[in-house]
Amino acid sequence: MSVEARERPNATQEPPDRPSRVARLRYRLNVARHDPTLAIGIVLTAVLAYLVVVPIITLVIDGLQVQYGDQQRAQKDPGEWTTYYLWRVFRSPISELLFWEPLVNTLVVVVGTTVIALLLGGSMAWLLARTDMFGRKWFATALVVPYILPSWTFALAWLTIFKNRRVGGQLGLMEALGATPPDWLAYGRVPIIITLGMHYFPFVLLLVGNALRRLDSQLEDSARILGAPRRTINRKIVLPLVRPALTSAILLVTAKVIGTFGTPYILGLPVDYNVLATSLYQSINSRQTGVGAVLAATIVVIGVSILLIDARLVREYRRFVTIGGKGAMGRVNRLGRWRLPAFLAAAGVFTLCVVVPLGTLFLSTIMVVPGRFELSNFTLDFWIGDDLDSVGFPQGILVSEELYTAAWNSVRIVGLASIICAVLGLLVGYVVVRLAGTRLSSFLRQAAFLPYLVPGIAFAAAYLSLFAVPRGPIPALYGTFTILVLAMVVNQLPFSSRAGISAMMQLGREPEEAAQVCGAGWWRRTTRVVMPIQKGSLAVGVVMPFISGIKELSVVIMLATSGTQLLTTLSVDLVEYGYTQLANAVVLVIAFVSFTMTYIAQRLTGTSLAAGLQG
Amino acid sequence: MRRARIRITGVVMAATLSGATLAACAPSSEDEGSEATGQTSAASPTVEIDQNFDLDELVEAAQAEGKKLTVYDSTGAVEDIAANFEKKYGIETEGIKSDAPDTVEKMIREAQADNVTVDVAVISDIASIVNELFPQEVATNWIPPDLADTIPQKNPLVAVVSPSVFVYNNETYPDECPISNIWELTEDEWQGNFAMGDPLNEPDLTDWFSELTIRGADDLEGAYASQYDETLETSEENAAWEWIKRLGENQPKIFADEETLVASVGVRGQDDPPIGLMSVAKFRDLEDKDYALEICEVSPWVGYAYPKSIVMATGTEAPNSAKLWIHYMMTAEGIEPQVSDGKISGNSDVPLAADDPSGVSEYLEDLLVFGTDTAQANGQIRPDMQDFWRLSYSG
Repeated sequence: MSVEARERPNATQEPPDRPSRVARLRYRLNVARHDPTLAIGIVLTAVLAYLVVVPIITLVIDGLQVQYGDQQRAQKDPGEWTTYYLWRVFRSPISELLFWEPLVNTLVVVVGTTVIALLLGGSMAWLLARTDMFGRKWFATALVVPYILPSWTFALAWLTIFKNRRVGGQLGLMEALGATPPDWLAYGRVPIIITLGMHYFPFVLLLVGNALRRLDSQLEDSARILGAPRRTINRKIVLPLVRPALTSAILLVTAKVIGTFGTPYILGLPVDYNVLATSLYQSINSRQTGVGAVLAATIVVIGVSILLIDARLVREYRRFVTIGGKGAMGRVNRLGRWRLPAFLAAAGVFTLCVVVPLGTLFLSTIMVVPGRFELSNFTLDFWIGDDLDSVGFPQGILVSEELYTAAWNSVRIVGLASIICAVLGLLVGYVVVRLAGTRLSSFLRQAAFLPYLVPGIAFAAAYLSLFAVPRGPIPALYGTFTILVLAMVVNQLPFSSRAGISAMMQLGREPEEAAQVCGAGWWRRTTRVVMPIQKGSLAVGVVMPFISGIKELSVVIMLATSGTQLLTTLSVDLVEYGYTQLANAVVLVIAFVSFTMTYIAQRLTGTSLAAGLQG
Repeated sequence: MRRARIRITGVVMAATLSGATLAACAPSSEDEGSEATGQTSAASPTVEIDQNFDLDELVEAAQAEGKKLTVYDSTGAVEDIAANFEKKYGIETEGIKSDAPDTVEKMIREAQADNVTVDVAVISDIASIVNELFPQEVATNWIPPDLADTIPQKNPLVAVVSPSVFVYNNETYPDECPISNIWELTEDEWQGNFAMGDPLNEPDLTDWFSELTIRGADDLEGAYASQYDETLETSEENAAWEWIKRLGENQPKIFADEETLVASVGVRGQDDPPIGLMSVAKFRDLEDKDYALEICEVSPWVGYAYPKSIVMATGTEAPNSAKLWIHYMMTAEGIEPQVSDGKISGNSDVPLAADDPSGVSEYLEDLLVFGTDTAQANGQIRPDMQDFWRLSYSG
């Protein structure tokens, strides 16, 4: 094809006097200034590629290169390419016990947990958002607490109640009452699924609840007027509208469960029930870096598969705009005679998922000898005493200075990270939705979620390498406050970006276009129209990373070089000293701080992740 | 003279040297040191000891550096030691508690990036020191020359030895431990009733198994013969592999954390408490908890003791402060917070803790002590040992 032929279309498109390149550029910039979505998208893409994709690639490389100490096994020198680790994990005689059996167990746990979380979270979300049940406001706040507690507290509570002589030691509660629970109830699959379900159902509650609240009752009314029965309305209107939130919630639960180590380990160990995370931690703790990398990468791959399924689902069930320029109505369903039973059900969930684990934990902090129920054995010294026997920590938690320093550090670092996270998340959501259908959009959508699929322990190590030296325009951040915040932002970004995407999906262009017609620039539209409408999800975007970040340990241990004591590290130190009561008291303080900050965030934003459910 | 000192500190030597070697002959500590060096030449070619060493000069040089020293250790006692060190020498020091895998990972990454913040580290996983840190020149071994004579294990320098022992519930069994031989743990009577940590998650347990196969096979074979009056027949490589296999097949109780393990053995009022294997340091934590715990006197060993080594980062900006710290850790004064937890100093001149809630000092000669000479082998064998355990335990 000749040069001339190729140029001709251009020539016809452009006016004879050809405006200069500068003029064209100016025009484009002008458009971009009013709608800088693409520009923001490109910047976000670059940032995420560096912060998320590169660490994952280094992880994969670790699993494909001979590690130091493995020369003899791999029969190659360190640093050379090898398939030894792949072979060991997937094909060797031990792969059955190391990988395949744990894989099956993991999938069983994931499915089971998701089902329980959906049942608990979905039903509670509906009761809180769409009915006139008693105490909705209160429950809306209270039912977030299970996620605030570290997941192992559920395992602890479970064992306190259900353990039998297989573990031994103090009598379990059931045993003491004369009914010895069988092994299948005390350990392994069943308790892991139940406790994880109880821990993660707030994800479903928050995301689905938020979607339900935004759902315009007029849509349901129209259907009802047209004679559709309740079931049809739910199936054809409500379900499709909350589906993005629902799939998001399922994804969040599933991916988190795959990487969760503590609970499956504690409850699974007595009956040798292993999941992939168990194998991963075992390899990392025995310095089998190569095998650990392969396992971590596999966990990422499984997560990504679920992510792709999710992406497909969302595409199929197009997005539905529920916040348009028109008026909307939120009407509650009258429960009538079901009002009391509904309340009792919610109270039951609260008791099981909040009172029992919190109570067990609290009880452990006021007893000198665990499990001995005599009056003389109870004390508040671990909270407010000032003359404890414990070396190096002679004061009760509440009167010790160390606690307050650690708490302030935690709030400062995690709080900052969460706020950055929320804004970033909303931006990601904005770009993903506005540019929907483009590659940029799907890359952002997935990259922002990837950190969630990488077990924290693997991520922290990669960060260490990434930021220890200056690379291009990025200075060496290692050992600084910044890298800790940065790592936390990336680590928790999935929450905020999910919240952002799910919220933006429901927000049509109309409100923004209306503002644009009135002459509002992008910044003004964002701050005056988009943000206020989205303040509910912005709150979710702050609080979820906060709750999750304040419990975070592996990133902190790896990246905090200045020895900055956080609440989590304080708790771990106390465990190391053998001061279980003090350590558990710190865990309660973590839960308290989380809860308080959640509450404050709600108050400040006027809406809330929880009361936000109420509308 | 030298021999006399060995007698005096015999128990400590027994703990720090490999028990078997000591029983055969009692070499001078210097000989043992150089012997160890020869054996592990592959890991780190030589252990250099500066003959013109002067402690005062080192102190001066360290203070002149004016850098903050950051030290890592897997025990919380490191914070106390750091505070004491700072007080004594006026060098700003921060002690950070960090588990061995994290410390090793961190040191490697820091060295790769040439941005070293961990100046000195005490690491319990000797295998990863000799297999990873030394070959990659991440860490350096340094021996305080003035103390070299009384430090038997130098490559890498062993700072402390941590004993773990078999224990039983002395309320349920008031007279004595219900077993006298560790082969009994593989019998039906103790099926599902032996409490231990997770060999797949705790390298010191995996390494204990490796040590059994490397230096404990004969003792285990002898113990079998004396228990059952017959020779052990096994298709495994040796008696130790057979014992490990039978132990796994007997489905011991595996615990995620030592706290619940100890409770499982020591809680009062139990009809059928398990025999347990726990670290001596736990005895001190338990003083308030009123557990009925006592060391179980079994043959051939009442437990094992694993070494923790101290190394300095090759790229540290404060090499003299780092050396001074190592020196301090090898003195009675410096290591005191760890010794009082029941650990044994790698310097045979440092006495054991005066008060010892566990009573382990009576049994030091009955511990299987890991030598650093086998560290490399332990590291190599670790995946195999874990596989072997996985297969045995899952039956």
